[in-house]
Amino acid sequence: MKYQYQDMKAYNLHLFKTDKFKTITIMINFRREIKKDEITIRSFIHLLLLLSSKKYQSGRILSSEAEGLYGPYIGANENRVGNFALTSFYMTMINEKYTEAGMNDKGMDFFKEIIFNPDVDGKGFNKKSFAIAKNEIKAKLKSVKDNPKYYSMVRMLEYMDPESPISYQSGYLEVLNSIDEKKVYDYYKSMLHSDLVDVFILGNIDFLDMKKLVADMVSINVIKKAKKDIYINHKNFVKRLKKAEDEENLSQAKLVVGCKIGNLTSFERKYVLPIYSGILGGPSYSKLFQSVREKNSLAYYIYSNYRRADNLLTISSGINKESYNKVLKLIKEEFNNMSKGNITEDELKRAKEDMISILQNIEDNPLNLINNYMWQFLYSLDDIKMRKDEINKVTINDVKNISKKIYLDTAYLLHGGDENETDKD
Amino acid sequence: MKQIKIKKTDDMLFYDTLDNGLQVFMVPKEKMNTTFVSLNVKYGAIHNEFTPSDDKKMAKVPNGIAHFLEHKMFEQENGVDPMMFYAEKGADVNAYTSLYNTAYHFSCSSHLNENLEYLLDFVQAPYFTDENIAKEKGIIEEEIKMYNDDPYSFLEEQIRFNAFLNHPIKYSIAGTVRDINSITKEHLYTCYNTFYQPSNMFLVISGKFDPETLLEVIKTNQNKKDFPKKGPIKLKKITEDNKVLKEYEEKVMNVEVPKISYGLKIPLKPIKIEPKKGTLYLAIMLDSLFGSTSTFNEEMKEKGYLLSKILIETFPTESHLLVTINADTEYADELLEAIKNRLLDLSISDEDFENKRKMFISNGIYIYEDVNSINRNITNDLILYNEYYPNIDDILNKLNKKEYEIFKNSIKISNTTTLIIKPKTSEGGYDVKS
Repeated sequence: MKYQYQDMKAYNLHLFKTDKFKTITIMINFRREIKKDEITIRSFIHLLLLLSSKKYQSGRILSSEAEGLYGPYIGANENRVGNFALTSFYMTMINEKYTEAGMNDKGMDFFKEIIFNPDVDGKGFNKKSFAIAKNEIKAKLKSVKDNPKYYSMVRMLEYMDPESPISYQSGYLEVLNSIDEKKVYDYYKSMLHSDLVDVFILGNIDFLDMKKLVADMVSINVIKKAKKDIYINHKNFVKRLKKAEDEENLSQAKLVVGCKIGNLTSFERKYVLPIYSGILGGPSYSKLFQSVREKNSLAYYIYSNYRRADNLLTISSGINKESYNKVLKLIKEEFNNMSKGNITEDELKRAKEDMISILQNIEDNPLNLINNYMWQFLYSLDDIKMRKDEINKVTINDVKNISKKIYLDTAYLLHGGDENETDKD
Repeated sequence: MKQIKIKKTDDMLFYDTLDNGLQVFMVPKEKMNTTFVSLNVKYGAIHNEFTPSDDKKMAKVPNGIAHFLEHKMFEQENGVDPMMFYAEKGADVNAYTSLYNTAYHFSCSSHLNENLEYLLDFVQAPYFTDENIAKEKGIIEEEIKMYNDDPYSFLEEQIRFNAFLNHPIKYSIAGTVRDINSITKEHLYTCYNTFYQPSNMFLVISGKFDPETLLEVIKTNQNKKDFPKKGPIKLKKITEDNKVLKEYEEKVMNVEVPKISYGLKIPLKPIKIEPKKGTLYLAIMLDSLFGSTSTFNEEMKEKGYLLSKILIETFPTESHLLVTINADTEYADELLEAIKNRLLDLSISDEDFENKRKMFISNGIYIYEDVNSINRNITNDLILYNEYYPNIDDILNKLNKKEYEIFKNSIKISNTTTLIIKPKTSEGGYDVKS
């Protein structure tokens, strides 16, 4: 695969040529420093642009048009990554070699229409589309509790640090009614003007053609530079584990433990911490899985997650409320084992093999590949080939030493109280 | 070994049936890094009444046993944990149980031969003890409770429960805590010996490998093992009435946004079209009526009745097809009324018919882009139709509006069931266009 990167001043262009796939995938990202009071309004953009456009004035017309183009997969999402708000639009379409001539251009035109020719009447977004998007956002924000796994994570982060972006939610119900179609359109214009933009295209493509095509598509001519670092740096590290809990009508309690991470070197961040997390709470081979699930039958799932940009390590598990102290004790025991260096060569090897196999898998899927390059770019990671080599340099001592930089901070339990039934017939 | 060319993508499908009855399907993808292997058993949650291989009488086993058995296959007599074996080879192993089948799968980018042999070895060597069964009960109990707290799982399970009278498809795949507590070592061996025979299993391999070499590895492995000769598997014949168990149910749950499920229990007898074709006509129909290109979807969203996409699922049995239509809505009554009205006329436009057909044709190319989807595609066909349709275009090209009319007229929607999940308190307040 050939990779070409170019700083086009108004945007970064990333092109990948490969004959591995019969599809062409394109992704456009907009990002800027996250502000709590912008989150809700920003969340409209990725929904509204996919609901209708100037040329295709309803979701129905837009979808019919897509079907006529051999059904490209189109999607968009809105996320917080460390200090940044990140809005992504992507499309995978079949290369015209396998459908009919002219389809590549038509597909790209369609994508351009969606993102850069919005359905605006007068000064604001189309009222109908705005109302649909508003309903969807409202339902999504209201239903945060419907997913206890997710909700328990949200609550833990709030207890951990209510001021930091780590606890920002995906929107706020209380500001929803102050947003209208005009304000969203103004925000959209400000995104085009001031967000950092990345364009990625992957497939059996011609670099020159694509450069021209993107120049024509992305009609932005403002020079931009990132001011803020993507990584969140924690200031306060607690000495004693904080504990918090909430009660909801649940049959299974959710335990979430959060740790802050401080002062990692670049090598630690890129290689040692992912391996630490793998050994501690990765898939079935990990210490936590073996201890909590296999030896003590206390959970169906338990895993750790390294949230790179947030400098956090979290552990999630579904347990019986009565086992809370027991499970927490087992988790602390495994943290202790990590810091004492009670790690076998086999454990290290499994975590490394796991990371390498994930990299191998990434290369077999176009959207995963593009996403991988996006993260590589945002986090200044090494390329896949180099990563495969560097992973193998990590030693047990490296993993042991990094323990000093991981601070147990908050243990949170979302549970159903004492009276909930455990069985359903 | 036979082979067929996948015309649309120039890939090749290789397939063979071994002497012991095990079927093998392989799609090599030269340019990929990884290989996805699945060993499938035609045995799922619904097969809980049958004649055991060593008996003459019908036996009924506890619900949830296929899933329990799947968990327990990861227990080996020599104490080696298959999960560890694969972790050391950088392979990702897992398993799942559906209503219809059980699958053990892994993906890897090295040590393929070894990994494949080990898959056959661990699934073909059961080791159940009272202790290892007791240990698993705690784990599965937590798994069941996890699903109990998920309103969407509840919706899916309860609508099946309410739609069927007798058919075991009405029960949850994992069973209840009470069910799994009644499972014994003997039950597991009975089920294993009856269903885990090579002739009731198939292997699907997609990704980077050489088919000739791999088939040799499989044959050599299988030839080393003795499989007792067994007769055909006898499942209990289930008679299921057209009526549903419960036409309407409301349930208050820990949710903020109400959810509905509308189930259509459609008898299969009047439908005279071959199953694969029928599935395609049905998909075209449902997507035209409720999909993103439908006026229904547009109207419901504009009215504020629909807060999500309409999600449609199908659950076939020998005698009936359950179609469920699920959505998030604050206006359950209005939305249900609109769905019912929409179903009064199943006609679709020529344009929709053609567009959907074109979509399905291109979908075949997307499937063959990914080793995982290729594998799933083959497995699904084999489970549902007992054969694989590598060139689905050949069927799609034969579909026509005239036959659609015949299909449409054979769909009888007179037995339905409605399920509404309501929050404890509802504020409403969504933007509604009157």
